[in-house]
Amino acid sequence: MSARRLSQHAQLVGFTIAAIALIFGVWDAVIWLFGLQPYVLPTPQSAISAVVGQWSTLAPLTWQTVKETAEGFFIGAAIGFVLAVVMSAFRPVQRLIYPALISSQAVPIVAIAAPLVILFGFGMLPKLIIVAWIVFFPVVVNVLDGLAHIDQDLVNLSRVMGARRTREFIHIHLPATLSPLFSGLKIGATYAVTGAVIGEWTASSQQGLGTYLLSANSSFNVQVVFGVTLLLTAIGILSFLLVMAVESVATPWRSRSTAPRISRPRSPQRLRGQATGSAAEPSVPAARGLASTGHEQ
Amino acid sequence: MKNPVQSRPVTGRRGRAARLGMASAAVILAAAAGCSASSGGGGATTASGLSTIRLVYDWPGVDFEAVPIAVGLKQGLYKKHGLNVDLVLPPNNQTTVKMLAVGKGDIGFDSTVDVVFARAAQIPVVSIANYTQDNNWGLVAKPGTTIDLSSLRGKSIGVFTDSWTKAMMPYVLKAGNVSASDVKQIIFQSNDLSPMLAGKINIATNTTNFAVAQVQSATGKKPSIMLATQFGAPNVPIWVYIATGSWLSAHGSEARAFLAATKEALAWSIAHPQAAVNDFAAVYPKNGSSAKYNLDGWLATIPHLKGSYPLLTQRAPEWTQVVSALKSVNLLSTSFPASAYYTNKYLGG
Repeated sequence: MSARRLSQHAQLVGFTIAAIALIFGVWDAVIWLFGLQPYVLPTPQSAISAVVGQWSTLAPLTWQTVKETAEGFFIGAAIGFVLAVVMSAFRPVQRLIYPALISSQAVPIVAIAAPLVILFGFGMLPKLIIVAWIVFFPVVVNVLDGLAHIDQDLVNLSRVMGARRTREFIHIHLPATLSPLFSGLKIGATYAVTGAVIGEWTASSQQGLGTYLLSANSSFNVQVVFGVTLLLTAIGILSFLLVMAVESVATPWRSRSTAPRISRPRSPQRLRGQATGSAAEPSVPAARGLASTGHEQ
Repeated sequence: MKNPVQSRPVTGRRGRAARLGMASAAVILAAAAGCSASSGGGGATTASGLSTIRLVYDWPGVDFEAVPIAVGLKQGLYKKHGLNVDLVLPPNNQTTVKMLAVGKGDIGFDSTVDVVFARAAQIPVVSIANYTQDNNWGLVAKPGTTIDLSSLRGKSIGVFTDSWTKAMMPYVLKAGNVSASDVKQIIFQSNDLSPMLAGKINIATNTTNFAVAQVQSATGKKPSIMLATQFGAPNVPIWVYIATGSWLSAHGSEARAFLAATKEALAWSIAHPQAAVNDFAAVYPKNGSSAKYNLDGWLATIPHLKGSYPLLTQRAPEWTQVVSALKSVNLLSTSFPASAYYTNKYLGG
């Protein structure tokens, strides 16, 4: 790793630590400013101590909530992506489903919680449905948006060059969904943990952080309540960071200031890249794919 | 080489950002000052010379347990005692005590266990009167079925995350001669009666007045009920009126007046249930429940308001028993003598 990259990473870590310190500082300041008693708002230090002190109890509960969050997130993301592609490919389907999608997000989940558990029982399924319900919407909306803004010249070019619909989808449409997909996934990853907590509150045969939070709250164990809240926040932040890490691998052109070097100088896309003089958005990988298509044809 | 963006003069933007930051800070501080000012003590006097009591309820929505308050307001009983009562709804069912402690309310309506936990957490609240006089928590099953504790093994039971349920469940398991792992406890947050009626769980747990009202609303029939006291749980009241020591020191006469008016309203509401529920609907028209539900609920509450002691009166053993029940299931580590939790001083004659 180069010294420059190391310095960038160090800066990122430094800013993250500074941001966390700032949040805890504001938290402490609010307690001091308003003279709040520990039973109203404990200090961040005591909340962290509560987590450390009860870690043997909290660890399996954390694992349970992480499992619900992750599984629900993947299901929601997959459904959202497939739905967006289908809706984009078939306009009547989009016109039919889109209003229903928007309505689905306006429905308070607590209102459908009871029917959900009556239909699907008290295991993982209702929780996964609730998490997926929350995650799929930003994915659908963002991916649809990406698919609606594909460079039409590129599509026309591919058709002129005789690319089949499947190839066109793989090399033009699919890469164009990546940036908006990750925007949707980042929103979904942050919200997914809230969905898991709501799922646990709905009805549960297995305890997670959400139900433990309620138990602690009912016995005025405020330090634990805020400690668990910190844990839930950490799950949300880590999910976001994981998606960001995958994004930086899957969409390298977003984090580079120059386009990656293309080895075949005679491809038409190389020429296109030079003409625009930009790193280009999804058109770079798409162009590379099309170049081979063109040669094959 | 310098980044061109970094070398661009940004004084104007920074200046705007700084001004925006200062303005935001000023707004936050002003809001904070406003909050502090508005959190002053109760006992405010209205234009008509009445002292206003802010009564913090135990639940985010008003329900039939507030019937006596509505009667007191509708029939001018509080007014007769120089009071006006504002019912304050908390954001959730665990905030009543905290609202009193920070001066956002004067008197609270809360559960007995909340007082015990509050004292353990050094929150200076004390119970000033009972609402119910007995323990009406129990097991609930479909209408027409029999609850048989000897066949609990393998059954699914709906439970809530509250401490009362946690304190009562060991009695259920002991009576059924089973351990916690022998039954399937399904954790609910708001409603375990619908899944019970739908056959998704075998037994629900709840307080009987709410269970009767909800099941009767849904099926037209009374549910099968087994009270916790039938299988050895202590017979202690669930709901009480509470206040902080500092508020009581400064507003003792208002506390006495409130309880005197409430006692009158309670007695009248017991004697005239239908009219009392009508008053409730008139005072709280947005209560969100049907007239039948409120009447069913109030009729199911009445038997638990009357005990062998006068209305609202507390006894030391009920507090020692509830403390002992919580300690037995390791929910409580710090406890005090019964006198630290309650006082009948404000009940009058």
